[in-house]
Amino acid sequence: MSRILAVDDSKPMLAMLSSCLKKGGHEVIQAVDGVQALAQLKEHQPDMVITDLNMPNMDGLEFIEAARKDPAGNAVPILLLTTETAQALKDRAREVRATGWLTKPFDPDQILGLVDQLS
Amino acid sequence: MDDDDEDFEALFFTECEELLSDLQEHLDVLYSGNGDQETLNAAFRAVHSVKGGAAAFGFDDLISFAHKFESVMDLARSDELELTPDVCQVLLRSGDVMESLIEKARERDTSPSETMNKVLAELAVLADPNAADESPAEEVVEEVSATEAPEPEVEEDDVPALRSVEVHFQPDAGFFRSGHDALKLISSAKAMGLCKTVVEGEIQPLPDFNLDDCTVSWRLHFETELDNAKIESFFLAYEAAATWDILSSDDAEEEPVEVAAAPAVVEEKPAPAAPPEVAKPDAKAEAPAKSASKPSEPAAASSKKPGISKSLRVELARVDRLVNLVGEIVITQAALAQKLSEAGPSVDLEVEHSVEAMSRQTRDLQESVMAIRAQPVKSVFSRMPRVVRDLADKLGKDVRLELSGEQTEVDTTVIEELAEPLTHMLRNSMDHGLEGPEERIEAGKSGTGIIKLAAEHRGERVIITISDDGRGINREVVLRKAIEKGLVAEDDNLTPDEIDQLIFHAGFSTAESVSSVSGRGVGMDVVKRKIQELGGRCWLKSEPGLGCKFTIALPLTLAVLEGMTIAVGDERYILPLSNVVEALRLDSVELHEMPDSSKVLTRRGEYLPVLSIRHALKVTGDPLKEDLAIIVDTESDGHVALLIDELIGQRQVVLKSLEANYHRVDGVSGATILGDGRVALILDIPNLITLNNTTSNQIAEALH
Repeated sequence: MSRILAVDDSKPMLAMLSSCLKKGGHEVIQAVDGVQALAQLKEHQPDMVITDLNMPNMDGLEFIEAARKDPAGNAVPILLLTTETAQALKDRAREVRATGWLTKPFDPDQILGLVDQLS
Repeated sequence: MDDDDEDFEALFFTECEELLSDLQEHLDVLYSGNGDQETLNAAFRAVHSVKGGAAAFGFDDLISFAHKFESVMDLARSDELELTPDVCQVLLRSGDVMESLIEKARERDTSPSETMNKVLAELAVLADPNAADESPAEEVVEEVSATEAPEPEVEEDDVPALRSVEVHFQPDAGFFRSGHDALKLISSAKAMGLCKTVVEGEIQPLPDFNLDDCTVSWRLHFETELDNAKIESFFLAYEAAATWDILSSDDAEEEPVEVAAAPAVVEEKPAPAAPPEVAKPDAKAEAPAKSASKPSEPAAASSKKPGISKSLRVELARVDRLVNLVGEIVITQAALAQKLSEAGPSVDLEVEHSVEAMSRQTRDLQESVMAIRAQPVKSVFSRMPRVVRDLADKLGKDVRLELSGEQTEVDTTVIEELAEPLTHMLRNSMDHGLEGPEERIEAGKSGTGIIKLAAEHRGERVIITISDDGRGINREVVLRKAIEKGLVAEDDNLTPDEIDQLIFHAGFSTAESVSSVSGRGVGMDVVKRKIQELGGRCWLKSEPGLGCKFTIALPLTLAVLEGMTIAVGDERYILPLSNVVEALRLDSVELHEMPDSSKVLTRRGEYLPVLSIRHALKVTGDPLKEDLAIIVDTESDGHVALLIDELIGQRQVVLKSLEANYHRVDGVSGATILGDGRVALILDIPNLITLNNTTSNQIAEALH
């Protein structure tokens, strides 16, 4: 079981992602934007983070960039889960040191597999 | 992508079913007035979760309805709306509408629903016009059960041959900085068949080690049954921070050692020791989040860690397969034991002990497997309050349903099949059994009728009873009807109890005018048949003016049975042990012939009807001994003595369906394979006896 921080500004998506992770036996912490996510990251020190890209206040890329500067987020796997597919964004993700990129809609089994593989 | 969508949709719908049943339960509690804030919150969360899921798939009707529903409940949560019974009724109806909307979403049916509009109007009345419409509340779906393991390496049938695959994995310089953990990579890869890791490149000495500059690469050698696509998808997880080549050497089996400049070959047997170990101290310091749990954790990539998830969701088919396999083991074990006993005293004592131990263990194994399939009857019982409430409204009767023994566990298949007969019996009790309020008060009873639905374990069976305090069975009417329909002759002289049981007779319906409730042309005979299909039996006891009690006795499982093997002529039969009372030698008891040539046996001053199995099943073959009698309990007709030739022994048998492999035979509940490979029929004793009073020939005909 891992402790996973799920970040998404859409509540249904957040609920579904969380539900999927919980069914995989994981503990889930939630955040609805990058700012909250950063706070949660520091407080709960999750084993893995799965975050949306487009969010208010602080988006997924900004969040990863900030997280990597923090001891709690420096080495934690952070997956981006988004509908975006633009190469520029992917390059940017690599730059800010995202661990991986997943496209919505997601396959629960794939997510759970990745959690097991990476966290 | 379509596939993914459907997978997730299926997940959503499955979840909806659970949410709906939760919702129903909570609303029932609220309706009964026993609810508190937490009940309400739970109900709210259920609706909210449905809404959340619906939004992700764009089921618009469902979203908007759930939203309104949720808003009204939210008012109740903030005490702006009082949960009167009327309000609860609306909520219950809303739950129904939501259920039908989910069903429609599943069927992709977008036609408008009138009921929905009606209930929407009711909800609108409840909702304060200027009430908030955004649901606050952080919520999450509550349950913590696990889905199937993500990538289970369960190969059911043929196991494909192992292939050798080599992957050259080149991490980017920033690999360690992107949340990747090389140790984790290797331990995960082991689950895919990684057996050897060769490190290439110079590992920097610790003082110079720079996390930002990964200078090594790996040659990962797999012995795997997975195809390249699977391996590729595994490595896709590292797409953002590494490159790799998959060199599958399908035919050429070569040692990967030769490539490395200064190869540090690490056999992956005991613990993965690789460069990440070097990286570890540094990483630990920088990532306290990971340090606590990771290193101590066994390298189990996809396996579930025990003790954490409390439940595991498994496809029924897998359990069934397990049950079948265990069944086969039981048979094999029996065969082994039999061979051994035939071999006589020459067998080594230790072998004998081992076989005995094995027999015990097999039994334990079987019980454990059966326990997986067991479920509390609660899942069926919890649907009944709704049935009763709806019907009470329709019939204008006051009814209180009392449930007990909901935690009693029964085999899953039995549970699934139970809902229909139970519903039917409840309807029957409410429609025919319970009187209207006035009539009840006139009879000196309370205006509210009580129906009790109870379940309990009794030996190898589960007993479910439905009792009401209504008027009982009107024997006069039943008898008249039965004579009219030619089911019994006028001069049959039935006992009151026999008359009562007539309502289980096929085609019998006493509803004076066929009501919309229980008289759908089908009667209690359908219930009886259903129960019999489940290997159970049902009967009733009625006390005129005081009420009626239906009893259903079901086997705990449909898969195995504790049985007594008997011999009649050349045939072997199994009597369910639950029916067997005792065995008697005929020379120790008296056998009397009755005027109608039937026989009775006296046992301790009690007269028991006697049935010859040989005669009943038209068994041929000698020797004709019939010097043993097995006293059996028929549950509904008292004790009966069965005449047999030989008692072979007690054993556990695996039920094989006669229906699935041949066709249904009255008097026989199934078949089993004996240790020596012979097929033995399992006798359905009550059925056999009932039949034998009238039509023993039919059974014999069916068998030959």
